[in-house]
Parts: sequence; C-alpha cells; structure tokens
Amino acid sequence: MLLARQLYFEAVKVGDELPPLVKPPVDRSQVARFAGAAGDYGPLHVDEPFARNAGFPSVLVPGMLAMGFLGELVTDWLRGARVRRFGARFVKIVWPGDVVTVRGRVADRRFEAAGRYAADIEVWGENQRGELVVRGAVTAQLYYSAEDETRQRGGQPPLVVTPAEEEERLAKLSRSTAPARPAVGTRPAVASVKPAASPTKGAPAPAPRPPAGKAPVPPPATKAAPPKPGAAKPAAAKPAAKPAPKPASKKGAPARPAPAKPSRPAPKKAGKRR
Amino acid sequence: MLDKTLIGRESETTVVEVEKGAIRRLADAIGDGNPAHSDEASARSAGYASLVAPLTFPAVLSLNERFRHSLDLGTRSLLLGEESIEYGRPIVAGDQLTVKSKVADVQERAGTSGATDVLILETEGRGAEGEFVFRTRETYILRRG
Repeated sequence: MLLARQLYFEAVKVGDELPPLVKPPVDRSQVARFAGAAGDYGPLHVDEPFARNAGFPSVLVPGMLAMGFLGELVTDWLRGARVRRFGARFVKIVWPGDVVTVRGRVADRRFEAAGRYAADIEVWGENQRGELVVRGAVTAQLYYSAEDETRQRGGQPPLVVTPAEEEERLAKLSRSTAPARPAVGTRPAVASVKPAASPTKGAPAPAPRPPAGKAPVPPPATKAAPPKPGAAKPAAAKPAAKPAPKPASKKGAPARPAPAKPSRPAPKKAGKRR
Repeated sequence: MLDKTLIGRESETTVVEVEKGAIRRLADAIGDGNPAHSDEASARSAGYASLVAPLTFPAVLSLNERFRHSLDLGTRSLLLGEESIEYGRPIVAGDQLTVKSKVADVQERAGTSGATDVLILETEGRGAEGEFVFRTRETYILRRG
C-alpha cells in the first residue's frame, strides 16, 4: 500500500544524503521542449544568433530546467511528503551538452507546533566539471510515522511526539537491540565512500556544500561566490542539529569508522537511476 | 536604471485551468519519470485527485508574457537569477487557479561589469475556493542589449 512507501519523519536524520541523480546531457532539443512546456521562449534560450550577439558562446539552458532536476530529486526522495517551500539560486550557467548531477542532504529536522514535522533539505547541482551550477533549499512537511499518517488520513488529529519522547524511544531501542554496533551489515561496505563523488574523476570531491542555516530561501544574489566549505552549516547550532541519536553509532561504539565527510554513502537501493 | 515606479504594478488576474497535458509536458521536458506526473492511476494511488504537477510548475503558471511586455523593458533580455516557491497544497490536473502577478521590487546591484538592473516579480495562485495554492518570487537580471 501507499502507506509503506511514504518517507516518515521518524526515519529522517540530519546529514542524510539523497541518492544523487545524474541527468542525461542537456541537449538543444530538451531546451526547446522545455521552452514549449514552460511557455517561455526567451531568446537567450532558443535563439542561437541572438545569444551569440549578446556575447554568449551559445544558447543558455534555462535555470528553471536545472531547478526542475532538483525538484525531481526531492520528489523522488520524499515519496509523497508535502513540500512547503522550494527556492533555488542559479549560480552558473548550464550550457547545452552539460551533464548535471543533482544532490541533496538533510540540513535540519524540526518538531513544529503540535504534530507538525518539517525537514529542511539543501539541494544543489553540479556540471561535469564539478562546478556548482544551482543551489537551493526545500522545506518539506512529513508525517511522523505510518501511525500518524493513518490517523490524519482518517480525519483524526496528528500524532504528537516531542523530541524528548523520540530520544527516549531511540535510546530504548538501542539498549535492547544493540550493545555494540550490531548493524555493520546494514551499511553499504565502508569501502564505497566514493559514490557520493561527482562523475568526473579529477573533480575535487568537496562537493560544494550549500550553507545550511539560511532557511528555505537561498541567500540573496549579489556575489556569486560558491558556498565556502568552511562557512557551511553555521546556524546548525540549533537544537535539532544534534543528530537524533542513532541506535548504534552514538556512544557505545568507538568513533565511526568512516571518515566524517560523506556522512554516509548514498544508499544504493534507491538508485533506480543510472 | 529601471524605473522605480514599476514597483507595485500588477497584472490582470487570469484564471488558469491546469491541464493534464501541461503537467505531462513539463515532466517530460525535465525528464522526470515519476509516474504521478503522467499516469492517472499512479497519481491516485499516491493520494492525489489526478496527475500531480512537478514542483516547479508554479513557475510556469507565473509566466505572464503580456505582463512582462507591459513593463517596457525595451530590448533587454531577462536572465533568471533566483526562483522561490511557496506551496499551500499540491497542484493537480483539473485545478482552476486564479493567478496574479506584480512587480515586487526594482533594484540596482553592483556587478562585475558595472551596475545591473534587477527585477523582482511575485505571483500568487489561489484555488477555486479562494484558498492559497502557491506564491512564486522571481529575481531577474536584466541584460543590456
């Protein structure tokens, strides 16, 4: 049933990465199809001589197409959860022939007013050279759990869970199941730390981390500086930033084996894409 | 410099019927294979009344060519710098939406090659019951030429 396919708040952790989506090269016919679908025939996108006259090497791929890729990534991952906000800033022009890879990770998860649960997801796209072309932020509203969904769909009030209750439940869970990292097998092999890297070989792995914090709307344009890796996750000092204690990885076990960067290799299973 | 008096100028109100074909075409152009955008049965089993629009669909609804022309931007072309969308609920085929745009702001920003004009448009869409469905905010960079 559809209930089981939903993504629930209880399963979302800060730092969770969305399985990257590598889009096929954007070609001119896709640009034309997009112009038709969007009803936007801006000459910079469809009229090559015009674009050259304006000083560009060719037509430009519309930014909204790249944002569409981000939307696809997020929709797939949310599996039906409601999106409340979606913002994007077009950092670098996408050209015909470019291969755009879109990625995302959970920047924050919030217990809002009674029975509302939200997740902030930072999303971004890179071209085949590993350059950041678009970055954005999504705020989604999720059911806490299958039980919450069933209740609300049945017209009942939402399930109210407080952070303290959640922590307690998780602690109980880890006590009962897991003295010491039982679940090594549940992670993909540690060796596969690379899948998160961009398709280009040499590309510097530091996938540009869009600054967290900064809430839904991307910061105002003015300077086109890509996110500075260091400056990332500033406001993450908020309460929710301490990752919900995962059953096995918090205390009991010695530091996680994997390097901290790609917090965890994107799960393979969701990789229905090439 | 763009004319500051444009700020606050509003488009006429338009009523848009969201068609299945429009949803399918946008999903197809993006290459978004989610069946809830193209297949009625899938959309229903996912809990929607009909095909559900891709997340960026409100930007399509916000595009009002006639309104843009009325702003008299001359020969300068618009390059989208930022897009921001708020959602009241998902948009599904069959929705009748009442849409209205306005000029939210006109700015001048320092760019690498001198000052650049920036035009910010906001559009709101409401449903048949008057309920809030979406709001978009587009930041356009005006290119000379």
